[in-house]
Amino acid sequence: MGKRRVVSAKYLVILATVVCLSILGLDRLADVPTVRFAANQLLAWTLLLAAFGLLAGIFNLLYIHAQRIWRGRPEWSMSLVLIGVALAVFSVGMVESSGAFGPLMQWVFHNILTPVPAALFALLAFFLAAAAYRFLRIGRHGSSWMLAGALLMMLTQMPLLRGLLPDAAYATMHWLIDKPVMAAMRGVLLGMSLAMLMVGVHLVFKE
Amino acid sequence: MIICPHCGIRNRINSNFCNHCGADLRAESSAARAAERGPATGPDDVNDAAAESNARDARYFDDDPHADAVDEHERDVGVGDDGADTADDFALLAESKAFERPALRDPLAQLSTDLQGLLTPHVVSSVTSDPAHADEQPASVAAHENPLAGLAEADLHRVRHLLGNEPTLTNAPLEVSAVGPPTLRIPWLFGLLGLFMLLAFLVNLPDLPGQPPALPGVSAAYRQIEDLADNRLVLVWWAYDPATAGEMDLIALPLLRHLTARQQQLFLFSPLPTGVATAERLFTRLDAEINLRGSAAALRSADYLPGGPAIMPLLGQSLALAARDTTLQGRLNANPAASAPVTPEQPALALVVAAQAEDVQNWLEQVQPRNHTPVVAITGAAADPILRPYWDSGQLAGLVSGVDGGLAYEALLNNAVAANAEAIPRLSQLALGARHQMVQIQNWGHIGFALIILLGNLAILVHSA
Repeated sequence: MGKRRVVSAKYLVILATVVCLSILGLDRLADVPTVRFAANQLLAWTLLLAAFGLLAGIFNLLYIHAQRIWRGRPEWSMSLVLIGVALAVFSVGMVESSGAFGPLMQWVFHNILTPVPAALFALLAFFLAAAAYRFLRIGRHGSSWMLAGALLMMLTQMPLLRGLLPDAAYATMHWLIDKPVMAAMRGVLLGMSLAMLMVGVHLVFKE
Repeated sequence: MIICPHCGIRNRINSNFCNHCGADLRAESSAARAAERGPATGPDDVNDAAAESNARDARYFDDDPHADAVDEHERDVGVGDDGADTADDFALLAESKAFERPALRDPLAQLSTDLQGLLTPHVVSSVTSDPAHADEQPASVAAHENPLAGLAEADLHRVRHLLGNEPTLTNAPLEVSAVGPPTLRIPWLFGLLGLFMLLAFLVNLPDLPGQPPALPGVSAAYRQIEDLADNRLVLVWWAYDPATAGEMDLIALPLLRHLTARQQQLFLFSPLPTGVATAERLFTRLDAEINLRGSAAALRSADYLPGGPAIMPLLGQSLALAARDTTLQGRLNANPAASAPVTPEQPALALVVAAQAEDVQNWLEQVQPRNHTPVVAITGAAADPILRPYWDSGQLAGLVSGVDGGLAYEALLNNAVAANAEAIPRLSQLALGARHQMVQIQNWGHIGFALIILLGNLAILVHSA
């Protein structure tokens, strides 16, 4: 009985998927008011689902880190910091009458939430420099071409060399971006899309 | 349990392939199952087996949740079907799991071990040269010439060792590369790069000559905003957060300044939880830079929209539904500054402010085909190569990318201010100075970056010479 129930549920999921796909597909292809209304309702439900997913994610995160603290797993102190900070920010938002737009919450945003990720992101320059120094080397297999491409891109975009480099360098840079690079990237995008489609079909219809 | 005939690792019953070397174990697995069940010598045995099978099937279809849970667990660990000893299988499972996840300290070795799971298992087990088992070879293999038939037993073991383990190069001649292994002197690298940027920040280094390249798309974006009638609805998709605000703020500021000067009504949506706060922070900064209070008033609505690309079509079909505000039209009409009320369903322009190209691509795929609104993209420099073809093909009505693009837009605005052709507020001297310093830091950082690469390669050439 349990297995039959599972099978029935899977058929229901497949049916719901096909119905939703049909409505959204028809809405994209033809401007029919009834279909448009149904599509809008589905999309609005998606909004609700996403908001619920966000909440579920927050609770899941807290649960996992609480478990890590409770069981004394490695780096449990970091989990403690995470939960403490989350509760502190949550409390600030709840205490203030204007919620997320209150002065205290604005202070947290301007002085903590903004500079910390920006500082971490700024380290990317040093990471890139180390990676470029290590891999963009003459003599390594394949890296000479990458070195030439990276230097061309970098030098043609430096204001200091503006006017000093020949026009052919700029033309080559634009041709590289527009033709081979774009062809490769679109190929990758197409491949990813097809792969995602196939994975989706496999997940829905594998039984 | 099944002992792999090649590497000797114990595997669970029902294993199709060896956990270690990937050898085909299907023949061994079926033989082991048959051996554990014992020979079905009489009709009683057959009946017992059928009764056991029926009982097992019945357990799958009854409503006992405990039985379902047990079955689920048994399916997970692969026991129950063959009547194997559960404790033994649990021990074997633990050993197998421990083997599948060896505690490798070397990340490359760990990566190699993980990648082995993606490779097609080889079928050396079916290609044995042992005459005693020649009759067990599958027909498909027997029909072909055995590539290992002529090898001696010692060589065959070496082949098995090579295929079953990480290859060792102890007996292979080492290829001496002309270029020595790269030595990464991290402190020197970081010191050099940091020195260039810090000096430009702390010391008044000489201004570097030259202008950033004016990529096409900036002037078109300027014309799009310039040609808008006043008090039109502009839809803004704000897809960057404080992490990338250092670059994106400089690019977005001149466009927001232009839109504010033209008194457009901005309806902002962000897929990021911190997106709305980032946008409001930028509007506050804009107020300070142009010595004017009121640019934030252009921001009529700002909403966080969870759901990512899945929810984006809603923006192209029903703004009121997306904003969860059915009185959007009423709010617009109630605005005394709105001389010509606009229809929320038909924005005059869409501004996609995103650090990554994917957000712009999603907009062009999910929203633009629905509302047919011209799109101006404001993106980071890294997104420019990906989005440039969209500009070339006409899908984007304007493209402002990177700090260079923002500066080019700023120059267009300043030219208009200088010509007094437009009522665009002037930037404060402080803001102009900050912009100038930021560009100089970036330019000197570029030089430091290029020097790191060039000097590194020069050192290699000198060393190899």
